[in-house]
Amino acid sequence: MAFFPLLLRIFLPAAAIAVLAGIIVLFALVFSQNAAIPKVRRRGTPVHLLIVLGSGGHTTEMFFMLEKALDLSVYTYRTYVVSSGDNFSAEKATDFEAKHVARQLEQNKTLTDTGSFDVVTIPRARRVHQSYWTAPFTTIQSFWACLLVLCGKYPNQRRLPWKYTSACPDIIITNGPAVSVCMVLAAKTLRFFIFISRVLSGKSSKPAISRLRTVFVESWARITTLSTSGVLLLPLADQFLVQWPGLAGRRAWWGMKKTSYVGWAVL
Amino acid sequence: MMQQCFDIRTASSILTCSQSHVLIISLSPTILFSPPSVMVRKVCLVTVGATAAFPELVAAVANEQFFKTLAEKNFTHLYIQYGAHGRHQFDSYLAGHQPGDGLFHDIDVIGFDFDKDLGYYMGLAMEKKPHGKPHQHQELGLMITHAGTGSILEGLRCGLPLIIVPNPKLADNHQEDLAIQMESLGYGVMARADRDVVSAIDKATEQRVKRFSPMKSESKEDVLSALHDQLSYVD
Repeated sequence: MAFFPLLLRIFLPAAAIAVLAGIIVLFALVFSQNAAIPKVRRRGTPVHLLIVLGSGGHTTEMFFMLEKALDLSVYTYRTYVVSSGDNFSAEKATDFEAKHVARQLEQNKTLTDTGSFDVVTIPRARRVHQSYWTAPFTTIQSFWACLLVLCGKYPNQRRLPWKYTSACPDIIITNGPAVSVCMVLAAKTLRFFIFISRVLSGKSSKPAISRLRTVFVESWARITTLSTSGVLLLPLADQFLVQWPGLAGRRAWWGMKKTSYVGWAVL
Repeated sequence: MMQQCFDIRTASSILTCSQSHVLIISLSPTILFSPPSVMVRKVCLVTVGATAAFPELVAAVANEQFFKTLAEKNFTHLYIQYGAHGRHQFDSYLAGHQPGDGLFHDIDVIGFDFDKDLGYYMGLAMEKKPHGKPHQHQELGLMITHAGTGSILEGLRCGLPLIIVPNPKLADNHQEDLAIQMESLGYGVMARADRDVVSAIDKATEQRVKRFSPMKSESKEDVLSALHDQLSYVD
């Protein structure tokens, strides 16, 4: 009976590790969504905002939203992430920056520095009509690209000005294209490792500026049901905003953060 | 009149491969040849979306009943964004008619497959009466759109009467959800591509309810404050 020792030696430890990893992930998710953010950021310090753009509708919505919410005196550096082949979003980002800078300069006479921006193109998670068999591989590729972008190390990415103390963006805002799932997951993964390294080096008791915070805004087109990205990101995003009252108060499971209804963010 | 119709036909066939705004204006026969008294433009804009094909909506627009109704409502121009897949369908409809057979009811028809600046065309459909420039006057037009987020939002921002036509073939049919919701809140009129697009024209042009009032939440929270919370400043 060579079968039984094999089971004991390989499968049981593997199962035990998987269960343990699952518990750690679950605990980390609950902890991450409920932990208070240390109030240590000083006003007037530069802020790096990362914006994930998707296909047509998502991109249009995002810019309508940013038109209202993007205060250039606060968000001094903007990184727009677009998927490869999506020239529409890349062009829109450049157009939007030019228009928005002009608009804000006109509205706010005291504004002198409008900061700068960068558009980064990363590989697509799944191309239209791509087979589901190869999709996992391209998704991993896309996830890896997201990690690099968040560390400021993606090949076509510009280097941040010197006054930014970290290469990581402070806030990530997204509204639901497939790549946003990769991006938020990458941000959480990085934060997990940053947290672990702080604990191991004994610095965890000292409050530090919290970066890589994620804000997910569910698409305006979603009235009664969450999008697939939304369902996946419900336990992951730090702040989950919805634009219709019917989606308010949803949460991934007991003890997790609820979605908040903010009205139409797009008009 | 025959000449004018012929001009329209050539204009639209040229424009299918061009997206230049200048070209549209310079080829548009009303601007070049008509006397000022009839120059009040009234534009109907049709958008089928850029990504998915929507032949049913193209078919709903490419028929004589539709043109007749538009003419009764004093429309002068029809701009149609028929998407990458709709071009052949629309061109073959145009080709099926002889110049001067009256099937377009003197409406200028201009088709294009995709333009990243749809806002330009929406501007043409908005009400504008610049003082002292009668030849630039525009009456409030109409927008017939697939139930895509971008088009509907842009239409609402421009304050256009909307006919929202869901594309039922799309994933989990969430376009229909949105269209029903928009109609029930009075932001537009929903129509089915295979049935009531023509009858919706009446309803939509009469509905001028709350095009400029977006829904607000009672709580003070919005995107701005949510981002601000995440930054978590020293108080």
